[in-house]
Amino acid sequence: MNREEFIKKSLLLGIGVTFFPSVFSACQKKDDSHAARLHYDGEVLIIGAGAAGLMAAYRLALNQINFRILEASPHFGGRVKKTQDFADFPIDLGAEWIHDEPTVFRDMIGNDQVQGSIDLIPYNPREIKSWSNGKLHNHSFFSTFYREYKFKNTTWYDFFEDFIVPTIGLDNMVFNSPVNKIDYGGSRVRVTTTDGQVYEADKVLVTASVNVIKDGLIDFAPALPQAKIDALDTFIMPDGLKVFIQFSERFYPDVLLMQGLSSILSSESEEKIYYDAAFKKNSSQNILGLFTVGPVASPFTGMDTEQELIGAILAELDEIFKGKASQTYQKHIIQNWSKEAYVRGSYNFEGTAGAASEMLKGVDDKLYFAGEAFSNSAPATVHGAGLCGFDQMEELVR
Amino acid sequence: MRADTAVVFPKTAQPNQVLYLALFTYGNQMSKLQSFLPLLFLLPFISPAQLNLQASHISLGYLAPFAVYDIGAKAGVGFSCWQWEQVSTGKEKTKARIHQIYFEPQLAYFGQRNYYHALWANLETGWKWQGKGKKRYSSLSLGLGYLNRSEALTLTTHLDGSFSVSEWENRPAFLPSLNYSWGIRVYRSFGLYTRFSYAYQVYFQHTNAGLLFFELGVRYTLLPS
Repeated sequence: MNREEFIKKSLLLGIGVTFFPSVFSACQKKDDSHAARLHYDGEVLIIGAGAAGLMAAYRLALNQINFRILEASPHFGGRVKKTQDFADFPIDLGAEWIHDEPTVFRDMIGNDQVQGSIDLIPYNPREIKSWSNGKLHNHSFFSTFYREYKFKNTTWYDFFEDFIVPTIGLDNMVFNSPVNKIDYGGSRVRVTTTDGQVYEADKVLVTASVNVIKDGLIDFAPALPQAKIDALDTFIMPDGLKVFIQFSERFYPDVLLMQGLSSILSSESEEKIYYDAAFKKNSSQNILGLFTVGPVASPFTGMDTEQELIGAILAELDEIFKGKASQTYQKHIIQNWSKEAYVRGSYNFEGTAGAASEMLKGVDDKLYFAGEAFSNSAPATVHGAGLCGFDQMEELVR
Repeated sequence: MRADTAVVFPKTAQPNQVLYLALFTYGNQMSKLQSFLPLLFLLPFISPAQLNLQASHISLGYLAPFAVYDIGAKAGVGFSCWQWEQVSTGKEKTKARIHQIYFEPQLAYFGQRNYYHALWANLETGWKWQGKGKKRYSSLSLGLGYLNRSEALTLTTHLDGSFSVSEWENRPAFLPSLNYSWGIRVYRSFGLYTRFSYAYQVYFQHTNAGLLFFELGVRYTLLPS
């Protein structure tokens, strides 16, 4: 479940839910079937090396099933991306929070024999403020409602790089290969990339973002069934942007909600928060993050130049913090997910119940879909995407 | 003092009657809350010899800060400083109400698994009122406490599914609180109570923050009613 759903569910269950931790863990724990052996003699093509594609490939690799990943960009990760150079700690330019229990990594790896550990930050920001009607409002009492985790000295990207990709093998990934046609009308599936390269496989898993599919970047032949098209139409994948700014001093709270406290609980497909990206990190630097999705992000994501964008952000912060932002600004980094050619947005908000289930059904036993949008258990999260890809392999080889 | 109100000192009580009457007279001209506050503030300046301290009750409660994952427990021993009876004569019947000024040292723990643990030593001073012969009572109190919060900075999760907090930071703070309690005697000296508190964490080095507590517990009365 994503953050909004998690908090809402927590509030519904009320005080004392700690007595029943299994209420949540039971929903998330994978059953034995996740570790079940898969048998398939054919070859599988995976479109996209994001969380869903990587986890699908990981499961196929564990079961010695032939596969290949076609990735449009020069690197794996999809909306999981990091920068090591901006600050004295690695920064997630894409997905950053862990919206689940710390055992989620065990669930994703699905093998108790794998050794390793990951340091996490129990993320419970103490100083929470909101900006509305030209005033800063204090909501620090709300801090105990937060119950999330972040990586301490690593990132989501590092998790995949360290624990998933070695099993997949980089040799099984073909980078810079945007797919523009999937012909699943014949006995085998023919996949064509923009450079004219043709790949054949028995089955295909498409993990490209919803907007890439909806925008028609991939031509399906025959066309997708109407039920799939209708289901796809219910998903909303709005604009998304992350910006990190280094300041010479810290003038901001742990979290600054730009749409009031209610935005945390809102199911609206928009969010805009500034947050202390160095919270509980071993850092001596003052790094402020901006995370925004949806219509409130669009004015920023639509700006033509980086200077225009950072200028608008600093102006906004100056208004709130009385000029401190411009006075102490040092440098910034921008990740505009809306302008990533093969992403085209942030993450998905499902409009209609059942749409995800519809998308998970195979087409002609050859064409399958997976991704964060189609996760029934944890939509709009990395682990939801990953487990969706992992699980979908069972459906694919059935 | 209103003409229809009389104050009866119990035989066992030996308060500083001049101070008390001055405060009570002042208090009668204001709302209950306003009259209650100066009493509390003056209480520490009155020598213990002037008070008739008696252990009045023991309380044990489930304590939950106003959040879904925080739980805790609190234990306290109440001491009665002053107790008096207020008799109000109306047109048809006479009402008697027992008032008590008490203080209650408390020790509490609350926390959120994987996030923090907090130990809270608190001294609460309050005013309890109860209709004579009635089972229900209410009280309003102020607390001043010391909080030692151990904040989890790093949690190490292992890929076999186990995890534990590997780095803590102690964060001391003062924790003043304002509390309202409501209780009921269930059987003889045994009763139940619920309490709502607003507390404010005043940290030495970190950001201050408010806390809302909900408490539910049992109370054993030591003094005869």
